[in-house]
Amino acid sequence: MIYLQYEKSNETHSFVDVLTLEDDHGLSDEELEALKETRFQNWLSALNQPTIATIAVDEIV
Amino acid sequence: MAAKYWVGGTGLWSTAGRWSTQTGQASFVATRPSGTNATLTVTQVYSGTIKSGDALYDGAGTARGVINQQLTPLLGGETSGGVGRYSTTAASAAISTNNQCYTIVNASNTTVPASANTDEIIFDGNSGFNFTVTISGTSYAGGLYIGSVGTTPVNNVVTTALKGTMTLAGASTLNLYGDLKLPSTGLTWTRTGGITASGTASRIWSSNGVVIPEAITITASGTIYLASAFTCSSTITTNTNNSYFDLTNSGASTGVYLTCSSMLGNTGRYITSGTTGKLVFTGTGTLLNGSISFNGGSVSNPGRVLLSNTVDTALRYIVLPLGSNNNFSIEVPGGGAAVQCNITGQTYAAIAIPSLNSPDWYGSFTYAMAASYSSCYLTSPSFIAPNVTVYWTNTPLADSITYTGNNQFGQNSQYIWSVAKGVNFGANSTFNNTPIVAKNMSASNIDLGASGYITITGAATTSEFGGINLFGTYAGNKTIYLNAPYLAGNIYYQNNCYVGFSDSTKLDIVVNGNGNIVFGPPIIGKDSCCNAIYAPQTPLNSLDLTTNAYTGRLKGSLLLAGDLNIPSAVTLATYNGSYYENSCDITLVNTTPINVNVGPTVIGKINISGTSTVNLTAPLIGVGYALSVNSGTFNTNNYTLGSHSTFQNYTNLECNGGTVNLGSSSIYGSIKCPTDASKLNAGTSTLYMKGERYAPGTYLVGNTLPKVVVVCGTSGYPVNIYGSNGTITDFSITGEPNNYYEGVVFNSGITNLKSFTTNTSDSNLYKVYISAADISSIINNSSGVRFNPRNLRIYNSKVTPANQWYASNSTDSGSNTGWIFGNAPPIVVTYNNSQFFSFF
Repeated sequence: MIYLQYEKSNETHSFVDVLTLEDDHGLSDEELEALKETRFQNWLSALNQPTIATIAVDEIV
Repeated sequence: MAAKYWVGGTGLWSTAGRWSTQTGQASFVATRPSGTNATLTVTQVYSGTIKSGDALYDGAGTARGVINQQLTPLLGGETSGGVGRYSTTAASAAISTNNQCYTIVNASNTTVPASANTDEIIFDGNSGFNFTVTISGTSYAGGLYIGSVGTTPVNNVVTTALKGTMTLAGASTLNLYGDLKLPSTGLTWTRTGGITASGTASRIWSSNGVVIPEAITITASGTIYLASAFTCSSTITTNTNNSYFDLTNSGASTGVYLTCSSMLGNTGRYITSGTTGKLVFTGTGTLLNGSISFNGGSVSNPGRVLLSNTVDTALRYIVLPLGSNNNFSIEVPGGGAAVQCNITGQTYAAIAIPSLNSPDWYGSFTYAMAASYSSCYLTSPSFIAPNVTVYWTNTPLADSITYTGNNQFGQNSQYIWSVAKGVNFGANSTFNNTPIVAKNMSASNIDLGASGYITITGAATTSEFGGINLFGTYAGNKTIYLNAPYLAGNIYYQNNCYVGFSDSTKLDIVVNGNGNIVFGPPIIGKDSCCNAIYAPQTPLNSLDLTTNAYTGRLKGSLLLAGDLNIPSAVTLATYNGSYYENSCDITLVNTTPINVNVGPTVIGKINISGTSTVNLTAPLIGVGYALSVNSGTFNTNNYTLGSHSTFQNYTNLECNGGTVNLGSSSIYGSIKCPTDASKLNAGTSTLYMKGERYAPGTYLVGNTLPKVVVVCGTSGYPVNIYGSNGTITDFSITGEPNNYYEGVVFNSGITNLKSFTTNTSDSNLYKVYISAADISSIINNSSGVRFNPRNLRIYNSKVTPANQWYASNSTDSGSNTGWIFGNAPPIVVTYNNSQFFSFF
């Protein structure tokens, strides 16, 4: 496995995370960067969200 | 422990037919008409291989018989077990069009993961396609592996990536006894039922960027290792056991972020965060209660806590229990325009530590606002509860930290900081008798920086300030501005600090260092400013009460190595109606020349005890008790000592050592030279004395005063002359005709009294013991100056040599020796062999 630590930041926050990848993951640098950015944005979106107080309705098939 | 595979795509976690203990099941789309021997038509296979003997289930998880054999494929080119037609065992019900069916290799093992089990729960490429799994009842997993490529640790199951997407839904509790490994793509987590991390095993959580939206309760006693940043948008609660998190497990990582809305529960938390890991709180209200220890309690490598939510304006609390070991810094980011807008909201609070019994907190508070926002505020209310000690050990990025709202600081709490920037405590701050304490931590010096300062503003009615305590070593001169009329408090002040007061502030100052105190505009007005200065230990650089310092009060005492500048109305003592008390003793310990400028109403004592020169730069008319010269050189520079308009003998020049140069000064009070240790150069000065009950009198031992004038008053107490072998060249009594009650007492041998005149109409002179060795020469001196006391009532007075003291127009009140009451004979002066006669 490959452990790829990265740090991303904007003017307000910095974020430290690790990508765990297979040795032959086959991802290009651009794809890896996109993956990092996606995870950073997911984290940023979680920062200022109000605490969830309601329970989602189950989807029962 | 066994492996449990989810099969068949969408379904309820609690459905037994969705689980298998063996891999190899197939997932596919199929239809079948009704009838007992109808043919199953498979139109798409997502995973696995359809084999004879496998149990067939429709998309609802209902058993539909067993696969018998493959028939002729519908489409050419498909391999065996894929798309095609299959016969099944008897099953009468139809399978609707394009139903997502699946097979199970061993239908006898389709039980739901059992209570408190330790099974490895696997969702991977064989579990379905674009499916949703709903946890509809309390469920259990030994470890939860969803689309994580790898091998499970117990059963060594090789897991694969998801096919399509998976949604994990539901609102029931999931009890998790082991790992949590999620894919970086393809998983949507919508469930909110809560996760309980149970058991004793250590485990690895690898969320791979998936945000967990539900609360997590930690009852596990093992360490939770984070293999990637872990984000929970709800609360993490730690119960039952101390909770251990390791943020450094991810290969070469030096620590990832652990993010949650808050971390509650009252157990201890032990977090290994490395050098880059961070605990991020996104919530409001109580963010943390209970103790928290980072990196083994290391002070040199404390944890980092980020309060990230800069949108929500609700109050935040961090509650630290008594006796815990907390070592972390707190960061509150500023930033973009939107954030800035919300930060300045009136109800925003940065941090609150409300515990009544919180211990010391070894950490820092960092308000990292963007450089473009120089006026970011942590607006109120911030609350430091009683008995809380907050250490500020890091340099804030901002130029200052400003509190502008209803900040509260509980009684006996302390602010201990070593920030290199300023701290502003804004309007309506309430300190509740709370001192602000700044002292060095460990080996670090306290440094307020080149421009560090403290500013306190607020209304007197709402601001009660406990004080500022500064300890440790400070680099350079620092400034503390106290702008508000706080009601009480102490400033404990040490080493090169620069204290400036603005507005009316009532504070006590304990000066333990050689800084500067400057009272700036509009200064200590309204008799409520600096309440007292106490207890010096090392010299203050200077004391400057120049600007508008018109009604303040100083008490206590201080050492001063530099200039003393108090030209305005500041009292150094309080007058209780009879006498002055609580006087402030200012001791000058200068080693280089300094200047003294003390204003008209200062009451207190000044000790000159340095090794260098003290120069008056203005009349010293405010010292009410004493000016004591103990060493060094004191130059009056011809300025007046004491005030004729408020004449009183409290002004006492004590010459205990050093050199005193009076020049042509007028001294109102007395001069006391108890020994000849001090070199008194009286010059052409004039000492004006007035009888007072507490008058110390003038004491001369071998010293010479050129002129002493007794100004008669109505107090009824005499002026006293003490000492021995002193010389008063010109002694006279003056005053209004009716102010003759005080008199003069020569208590012992002033051996040289070279002139004695009176110009009052009637004055008392009693208890006079005068020994004037050269009185005959005075009487007969060539200039015609005569020893000529007049208008005296003399009692109990002995003068020597006898029969040479004439008191003209005077009354013998008894017990006198040596006096001749009457006019003296004319003095005969010989000039050019001619004799001239002079008469009184």
